[in-house]
Amino acid sequence: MNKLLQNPKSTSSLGFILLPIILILLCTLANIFAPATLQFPKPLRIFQDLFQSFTEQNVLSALGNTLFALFKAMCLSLFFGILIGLFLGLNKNIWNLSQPTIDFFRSIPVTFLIPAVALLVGVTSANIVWILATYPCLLIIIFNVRAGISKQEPERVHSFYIISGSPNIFQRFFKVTFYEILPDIFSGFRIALSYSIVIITVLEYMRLGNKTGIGGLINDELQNLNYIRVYALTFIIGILGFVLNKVIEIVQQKFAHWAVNLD
Amino acid sequence: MSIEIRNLSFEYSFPKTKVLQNINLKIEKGEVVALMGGSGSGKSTLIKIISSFLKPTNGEVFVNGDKVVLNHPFKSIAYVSQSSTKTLFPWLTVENNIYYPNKLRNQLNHETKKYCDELLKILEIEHRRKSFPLKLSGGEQKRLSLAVSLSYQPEIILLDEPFSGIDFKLAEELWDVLYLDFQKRNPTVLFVTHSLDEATILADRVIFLNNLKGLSKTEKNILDFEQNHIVNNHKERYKLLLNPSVVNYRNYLLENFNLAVNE
Repeated sequence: MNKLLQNPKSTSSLGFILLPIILILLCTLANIFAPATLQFPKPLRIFQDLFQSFTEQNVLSALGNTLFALFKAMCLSLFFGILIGLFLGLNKNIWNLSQPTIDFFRSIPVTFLIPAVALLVGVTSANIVWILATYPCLLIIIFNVRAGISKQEPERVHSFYIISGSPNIFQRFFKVTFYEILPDIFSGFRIALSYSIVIITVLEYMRLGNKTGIGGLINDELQNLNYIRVYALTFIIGILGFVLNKVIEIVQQKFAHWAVNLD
Repeated sequence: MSIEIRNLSFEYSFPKTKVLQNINLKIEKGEVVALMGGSGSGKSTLIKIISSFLKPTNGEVFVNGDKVVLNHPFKSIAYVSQSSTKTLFPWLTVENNIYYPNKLRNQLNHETKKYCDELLKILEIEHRRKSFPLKLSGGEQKRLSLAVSLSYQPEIILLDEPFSGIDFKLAEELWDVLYLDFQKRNPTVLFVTHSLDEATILADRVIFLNNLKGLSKTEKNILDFEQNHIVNNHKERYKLLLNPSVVNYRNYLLENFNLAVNE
């Protein structure tokens, strides 16, 4: 058993089986013991509704809108996050100059400044949801890329200069630095993705932007007192986060395998 | 290729520590020199300066008459660090790590591949050729580091405690590999060691380093005249350590070592 728990792959698979069981158990207990005023539905009905909701056009369309907003936020934050992170991290002078600003942003939880960004871009834009979600993810990826550069092994870089017989910095970037920061990009990406899902759903719930996502649908169903659907939609958000995280984990194991078990 | 060090001093800036003071040394082409001394005497620092990883505070290093500039290593130089994990490329397989120097130098062809494959066989890591470096044991990583450094047949080889942390039997086998390579290609070699046996068996000359007093040099290694007929077998060569003249030489090294450490 100890050996099983020490293997990250086994614990991950174990979690995959155990988590739904625990969830069903908790739902059942809540249904039995929670006060009637909480309107907690039977887990079976939630799961029935969950499967049924996947056949409904409005749920699929809302899921598509949420995913599209998530995709835009992640693409933008990855693209600019990596570029800005590299710009702020590769040059020693720029690194030193940017350090106080980075320290300032690191000291504040990334979500705290969302209202400030909302003030800057306005809340009436149709694209407000993914714009606001991009900002914290961008910061997370910038921090991670910079951290990746700082963790770069100087002896490995030097070893590259020696074995290549050339101090070409472009070659060094693509053959060494890129690989050194890749695990940190993946880590940042996974954290940013989790943040993004939560932020996008909450913003949709607040009815920002003009397209209805899962968060908006939860709001609608809550107005209709359809609690079973509210729980089913909440589960969909959880499943979405879990599946996307798993997909990135698999991609990370493929492309940054050397750092997967060392985190 | 010769190495010449003129009035070299080095001081670490943080914390401020003087490590090397006014070092003068000349290593002739094809010479195998062992560098010995107490902990913190600056052996590794000296090797790092020659490999262009560190910039001397004062003085100059010349490789084949050309001045060594920071991060601009001499084209045909190899450097094996104390820590193999820091210099190997964890995203490449064992096989690709060995092919990598020739690939970067556009010299990867049938012949160089064959030479690299032979190194894999000699160093007994052929069965791990598809593994990644971080999955190897400490001894295998050391062997891989040596294989990488020999793969492009450099004219200067710098070895920083290449046999530290590996068992004596394996170290003996690696002596053979290096010794045969030195005999075959006649490279200029400077290696750091704490083992008198290693210095006696491998080196033409042994230099003791004391950071306050500089260098003290020993005479030509007595084994150099006697080992021509037994170059292929480390066990035979190792028996020589019992030879009275060699025992005297070894004691002479020990005296020098004590002088360098205690001064």
